[in-house]
Amino acid sequence: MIALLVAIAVPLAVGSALIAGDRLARPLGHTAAWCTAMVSVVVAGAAVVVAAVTRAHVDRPWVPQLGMRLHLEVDGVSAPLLVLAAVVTLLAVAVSARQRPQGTPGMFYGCLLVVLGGALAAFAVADVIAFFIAFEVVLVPMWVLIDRYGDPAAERRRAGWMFLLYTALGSMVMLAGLLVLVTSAGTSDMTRLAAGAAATLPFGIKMAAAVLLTVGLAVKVPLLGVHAWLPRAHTAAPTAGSMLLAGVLLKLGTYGFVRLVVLALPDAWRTLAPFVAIFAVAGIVVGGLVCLVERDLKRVVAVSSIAHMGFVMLALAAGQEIGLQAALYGNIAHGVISTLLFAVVGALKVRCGSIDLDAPMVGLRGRDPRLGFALVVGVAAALGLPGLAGFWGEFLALAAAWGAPHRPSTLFHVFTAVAALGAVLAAAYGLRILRAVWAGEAEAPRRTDTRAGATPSTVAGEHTTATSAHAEATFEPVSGVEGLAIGVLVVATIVLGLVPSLLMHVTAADLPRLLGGLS
Amino acid sequence: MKISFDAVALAPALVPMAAALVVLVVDVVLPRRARLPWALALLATLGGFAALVAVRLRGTSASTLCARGTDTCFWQLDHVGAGLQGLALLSAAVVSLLALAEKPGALGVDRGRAAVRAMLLLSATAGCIGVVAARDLGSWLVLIELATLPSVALVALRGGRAAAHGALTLLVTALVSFAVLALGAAVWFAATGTASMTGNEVLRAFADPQRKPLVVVAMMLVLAGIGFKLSLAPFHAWTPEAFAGSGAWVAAFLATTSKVGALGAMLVVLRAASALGSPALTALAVVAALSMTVGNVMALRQRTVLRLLAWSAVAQAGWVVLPMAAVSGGSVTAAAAYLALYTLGTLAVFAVVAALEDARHGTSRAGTEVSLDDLRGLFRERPALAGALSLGLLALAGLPPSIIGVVAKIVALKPAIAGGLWWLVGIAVLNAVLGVAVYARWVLAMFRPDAAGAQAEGPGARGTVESVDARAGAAVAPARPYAVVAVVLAAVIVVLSLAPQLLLAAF
Repeated sequence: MIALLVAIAVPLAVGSALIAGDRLARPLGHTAAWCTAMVSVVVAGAAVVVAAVTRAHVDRPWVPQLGMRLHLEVDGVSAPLLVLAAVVTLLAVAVSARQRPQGTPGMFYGCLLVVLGGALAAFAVADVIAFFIAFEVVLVPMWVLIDRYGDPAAERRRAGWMFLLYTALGSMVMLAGLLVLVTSAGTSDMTRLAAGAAATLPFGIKMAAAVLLTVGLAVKVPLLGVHAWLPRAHTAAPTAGSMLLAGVLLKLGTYGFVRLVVLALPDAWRTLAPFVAIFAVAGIVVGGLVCLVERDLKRVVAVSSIAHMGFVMLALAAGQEIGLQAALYGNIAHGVISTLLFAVVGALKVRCGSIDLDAPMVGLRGRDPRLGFALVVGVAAALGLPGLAGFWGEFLALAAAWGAPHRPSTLFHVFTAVAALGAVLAAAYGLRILRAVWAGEAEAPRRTDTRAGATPSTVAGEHTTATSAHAEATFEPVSGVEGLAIGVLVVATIVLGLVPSLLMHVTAADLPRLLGGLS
Repeated sequence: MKISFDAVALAPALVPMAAALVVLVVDVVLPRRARLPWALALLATLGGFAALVAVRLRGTSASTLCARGTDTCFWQLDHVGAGLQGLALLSAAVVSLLALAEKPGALGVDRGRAAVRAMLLLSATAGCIGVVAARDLGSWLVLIELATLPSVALVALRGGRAAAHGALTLLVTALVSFAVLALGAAVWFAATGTASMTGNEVLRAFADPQRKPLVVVAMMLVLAGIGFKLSLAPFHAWTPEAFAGSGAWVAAFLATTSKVGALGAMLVVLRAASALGSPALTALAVVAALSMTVGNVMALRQRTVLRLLAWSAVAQAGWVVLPMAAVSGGSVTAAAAYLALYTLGTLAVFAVVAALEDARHGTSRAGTEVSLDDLRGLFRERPALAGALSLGLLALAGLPPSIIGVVAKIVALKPAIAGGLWWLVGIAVLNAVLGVAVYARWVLAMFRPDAAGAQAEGPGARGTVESVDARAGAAVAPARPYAVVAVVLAAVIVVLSLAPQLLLAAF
């Protein structure tokens, strides 16, 4: 119980202290801020592991006027996500040792920690109102990360605004749905909602709540149609920010779907599922197609998230235990793979700038074989190669969608086929990335910048050649903490792919109980 | 008819009223003191609050001025009412503190006027407190005007063109709204045949088909009259002019204590009419939707802090009224709790604005309004003020780290959702997002480096004295009291964010 509170309170407290301390007469230097952040994430991570193992549980009154309790609980659904959030943040902080923030370090690491604290709180609370509040906590620090520490070339201000307003809209719609659910069911406790507290309500009320929740959460997931903030935010965010967005924030959306819609409102979800599945499958295909033509490497990785989250949502739409298993597995797998890819892309970005896939030849294979290997593993996992983490999520999602009971079967067969086609697209853009970045001639590098392409004056040309020659001379292989962080992600990708039962056992232990009311 | 009298129950209103007289007497004995009247005002408001606490702790009924032999009391204080009175007294105390900290010699601070202004503030506060508990038409009407008219003089006494303009707008509005209210009260009396505002007579009149239209008309007129005071759209037009012309602390009074009194007045009427149902409630819902939308859309375009706060007051008034549009158990409590959050956030913002205005005193920009560009670089220059301002703005926007703002939004939305007012909920949701855009823009400005600061950073120098002085005034150290008030209010926001039940329990 202490562990759970420590896990949430330490990052929030230390994060706030770092942000406040940033404005002292003598602000913290980078090393001091980095060490503080590292230590507190390690503490929080250790506490999370303890809480996950001991199945910590806290339940005491908090705001009686709202019926909101301080109810924290760890079960098979939330435990992997809690650990993932802690690990991703740890690695994001680690990677920042080399990919330093452009600006004051205290605020940067403080925001990372507050995002972690908010996300841990959101995964751990068993009260829907408290979930909403925790969900909102991550908003402002993430916005600061994008707006202040993002890539100026990627219109970070605009990206920050889009992130803020889209997410605020999503969460307010979600709040309306939550309040419909809470006021009509008479309880805000997730356990009781999952046990069927809302089962006896009129179907209209349940549908209203489910539709509002779906629309609100869809922004965060994101589903196609409300995804416009994602490519911009991911591209503009600093590497650590992108890693947190992919590995932590997107998970909040799918986690919310599982807790608030799939488990709490099963029969309304049964009606809604085919419509959500349409958007999910469309996301898989459109995401894949966009990735085939998009030029900036970081943007490709960002857009591929839409496709991957499409698989997760398709699995959720299919329902049943296997569908939920697939969704939760896909969730974790996407968290690991996307984080890995963003870390690699970030490492490349500090070394040779933004990478234009149409003016390729970074020749990573020759320049830094280890980083090259990490990229290969990440891309292979993203395209769903068996033996790596991405495979199981997608395979199970397709299997669940094909055999989904209580769903229009022809429709879901079509969905499965189209989604499988989308997986082929993933292979195509995956290979495109590898051909452009990994293969190619190492001795003919060209530093390219998507925007600089339009200024072909000779002086500028010479200048570019000079800097790229310089970059080539100093292409420093990944090593130290940064290399270690990327290495951990590579190992996680491989282990999750080889031994999927590790994770599946954790979720399988609780799913039948949670699905009890669903049958 | 014999009337009972209980001085303790009346003390929260009597203390400021008596203090208003004391301030004038003291001014005769010790004339032209700039600070003394405000110190007295601060003591009086705090004393009123202590009296209120005593009334609540006493435990017995807080009703007084009861007619012997009947159950009609002309002064009734319930839990929500006591919470509102407390809010009015505390906000008036903060305003007095802000006035107390004002540098003698600044624009509008004429030594001779301090006593008069303190007296006006105290009378208006007493009016705000009285109207919450008044239960008969006559004193309700008189007290609501006692709460309004002194604020017109407060604005006018600041001096200068803008103040005169603001005061004139406010005066015209106050007269019109008084006319509307008086008409409403007359119709009310005609319909119910009694000057008492307790529910039974209204219900009886409403049940009578001949008198029913009269009751509805009376209700609409009264609500419109109070709409002016609460600056609800479409009765809001006075707000930006009056705020912009009146300077930080007078505007803070108009935005907080005044609004508490107006909501208290509205609750008296609505309590009487709670069972009336649809017509009055539909009108409230429309007004709430309109206020939120108009306020937020206009606030998006503002470039000076006072005008932003004026339009924000319009938008937030809509949020205050939103829960009352639904027939639901918690709606009155929700409205009061939201008003408390609004008061807290707004006061924090005003404290910072007062500090920034104060810092300009003696520079070439003295007396000009603090604008969006002036906030640039504030996080670097004055982190404590910037932090307080951000917490206040985020509380109004309903974003963490000001979790109390999120809770208040939840509290305000809940009755509307429970009552099934879907269209209103939809508009409220959109306005919550608009609100995020409105306030986030100002938070963002503080993070941006300012033009002068960027130059100063350039060659490693901190900039010349002139350039620092020419800047927004952010670089000139403002008086410490303002910063202390701002930081204390920010600390209150933080504490309430961790324990929102403390705020909600007060209503």
